[in-house]
Amino acid sequence: MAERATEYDELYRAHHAQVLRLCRLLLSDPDEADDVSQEVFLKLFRQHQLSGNTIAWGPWLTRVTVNACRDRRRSGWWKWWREHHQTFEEAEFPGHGRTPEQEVLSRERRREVWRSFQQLSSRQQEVFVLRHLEGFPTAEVAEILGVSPGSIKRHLYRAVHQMRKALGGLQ
Amino acid sequence: MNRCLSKRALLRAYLKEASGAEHAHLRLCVDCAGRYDALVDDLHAIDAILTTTPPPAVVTRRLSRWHMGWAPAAAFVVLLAAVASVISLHRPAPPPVPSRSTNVSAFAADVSLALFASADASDFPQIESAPSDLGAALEAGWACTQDGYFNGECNDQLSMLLFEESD
Repeated sequence: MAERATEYDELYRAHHAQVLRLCRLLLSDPDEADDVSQEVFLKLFRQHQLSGNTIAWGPWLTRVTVNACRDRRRSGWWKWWREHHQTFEEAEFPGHGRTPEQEVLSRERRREVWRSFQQLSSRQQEVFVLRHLEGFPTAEVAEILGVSPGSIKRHLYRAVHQMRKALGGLQ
Repeated sequence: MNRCLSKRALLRAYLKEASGAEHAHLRLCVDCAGRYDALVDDLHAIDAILTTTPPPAVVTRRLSRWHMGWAPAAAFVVLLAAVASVISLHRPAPPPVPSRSTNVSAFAADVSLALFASADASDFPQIESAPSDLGAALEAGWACTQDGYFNGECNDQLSMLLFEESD
């Protein structure tokens, strides 16, 4: 029993940052991301009690995280909340010696990139995050999301095209 | 490979999924190398923004002007309409208002009945016992005259009432 607990602690330490990052990207809300990542690790704890170390926990966690985020996005109140109450919160970052014009442009660019990312379809967001940001191989992303590798490439191309368009509009 | 690489091929090259020919072309073609560098710069900029800046967050329950202005008003109007319809459904129908000619003829019939009816005379309550003085007066005529009353010939109450008042 103590051995299982130690294993779980190690899994938590190894994967928590990645799971939280995934949730933040896929939900675009830090509070919701914390909430969903807690759910994911609760599921990990239960599954680990049953299965021990017989599962490759990295891909399992990624798949469970993506599904949990998808479920959260699909829930009715979440849709309603995002559509009616979403506003952009400007975070204050130090300027690092930039001019006011550069600062405004940088802020505008951040906003546009985030907006463009949020306007991608759920599938495109998942593919972009997993394949590009997290660096999973195409075949693994296809397996996690349950689609073909060709479909992953198409989604990724469209997502990149869309994001570059948003970025290019400011340059 | 002489043709320049498509955007998809450039992305494949970035993801290290391009074919050998595509990689070879990329090394030789200045134009494609420039486009590739632009793609890499853009993707790095996007990565930096998405991974180092916080995502948009919900800060307030700020409602749009439309929601502020019209939604509550519309809801209020709908509520009023619902209440009014419920009240109108449950209120009893008012009695029909008779026309003026109907009123006049009904009144005339009442007056006529009151003045000229005789068939129902027996229905009215009869005076069972008239005062004895009155009865006596009716049966035997006036028993007393005014002069007689004042001369003390009669001393009944009816005579007193009649003659004292008339004085």
